[in-house]
Amino acid sequence: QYSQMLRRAVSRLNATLDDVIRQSLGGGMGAPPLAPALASVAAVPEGAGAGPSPLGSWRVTEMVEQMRTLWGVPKYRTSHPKKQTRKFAYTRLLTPFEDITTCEQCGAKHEVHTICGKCYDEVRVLTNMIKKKLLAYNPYKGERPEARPIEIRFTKDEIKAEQERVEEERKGEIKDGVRVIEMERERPTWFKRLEKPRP
Amino acid sequence: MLARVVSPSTTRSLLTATRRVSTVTMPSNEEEMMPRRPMGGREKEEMERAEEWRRRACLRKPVLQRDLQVAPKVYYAPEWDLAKKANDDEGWANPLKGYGMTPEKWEHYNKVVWPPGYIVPETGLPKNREVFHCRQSIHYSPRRAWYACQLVWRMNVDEALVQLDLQQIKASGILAEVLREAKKRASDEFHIEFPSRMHVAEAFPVQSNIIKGARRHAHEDWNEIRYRYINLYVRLEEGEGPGNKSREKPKDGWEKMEEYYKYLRARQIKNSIG
Repeated sequence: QYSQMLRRAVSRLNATLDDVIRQSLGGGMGAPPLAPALASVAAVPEGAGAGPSPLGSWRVTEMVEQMRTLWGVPKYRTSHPKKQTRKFAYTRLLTPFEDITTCEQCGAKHEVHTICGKCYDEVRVLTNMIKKKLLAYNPYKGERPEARPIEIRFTKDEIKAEQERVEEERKGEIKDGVRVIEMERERPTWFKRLEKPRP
Repeated sequence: MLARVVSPSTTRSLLTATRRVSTVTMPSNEEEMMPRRPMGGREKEEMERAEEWRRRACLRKPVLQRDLQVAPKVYYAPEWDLAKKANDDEGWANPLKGYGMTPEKWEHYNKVVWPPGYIVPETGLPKNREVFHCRQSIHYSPRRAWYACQLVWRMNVDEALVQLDLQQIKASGILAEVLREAKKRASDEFHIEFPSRMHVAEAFPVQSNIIKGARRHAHEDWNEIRYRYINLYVRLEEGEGPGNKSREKPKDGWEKMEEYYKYLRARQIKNSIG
């Protein structure tokens, strides 16, 4: 009976001391201790019980509770075959693309739901070249972009335009920018002549 | 009556199931109900291909050493110096240590000459022409390069190139270049008329050497980095691939049905009289 009373008193004392320790050492409610578990055991005052106490098991469980965050650790070394089966399993293999089409413009292959990478690359390169010229002003110096309409010209533009015009005129259908369609019959009375050609 | 669903074969991926021709003889009344139409060119081609790969797959079945019959040497090959080490290193060539593929060994296969129109006696089919190609000292991890090689293994060359060009890993770009080189070699060096009709029979990386470097971690903790270099080996073979990446052809519904019938018919009443 005396031993029972002593046991209860000691356990109550230990519980209160533990609360004090946890609050002092822990970062807050439910947080792991800032100091390692062993150090916290050493910080317990001597009044709790000197030497190996017969009721020391609760302290071990508390230590275990504090170390719970360190428990996610491998117990055994993964063997080479096991590691290989995991790394080179069928789930990790590269899958072939099933949805491939050919670009109508350049003939390169791409996925159906994407745009052709080659064509995009060409457009991107040209866009960056144009942007480099457009954005050649320094706003930190107070320079501003030109607020006037822009025409982008390429080399040999005029030559090519001249070539196209000559080709069209040679075909005979276009004269002075107007396409002429010759009919092999007389004009009917109900088909009136218009002042301006139709667009 | 069995409703047979014939799946159309796709040209895009060789991994989908091909048409199956049954070897089971059908009863007479069923034959009347479902008259067999004459096979078109494509069906015939596929049947021939399936039959060819079935015969070739039989060669991979393990055989007892005493039942094994070594084929006589009907090919010509230049002499291989066994006394020399693979890398032309100095020292005695230990036969127990000289295992593994080297670029010299791979290239030696290209020098083998078979008789013209040679028919392999085990399969009864003509021997397909092969092209062995290798690229050396690629700075890439062999384990990562393995994934790209597995993707294109047993695929038609053109299809393999299309797939590799779209993949996002570095090894796929390198492997695509190697396959293009091999194709070029096939047409120029080996005078193969249609290099596009070849398939990638083998593709694998082998580590050639490691260059060691150092890397600093926190608290002046230095560790070693391994820069791995690989040799990419590629073998192109004429004809179409088997259509699957396993040793044996995976069973389709019809074959499984036949197996099930076999099981049902093999049942016996145990411990009965007679």
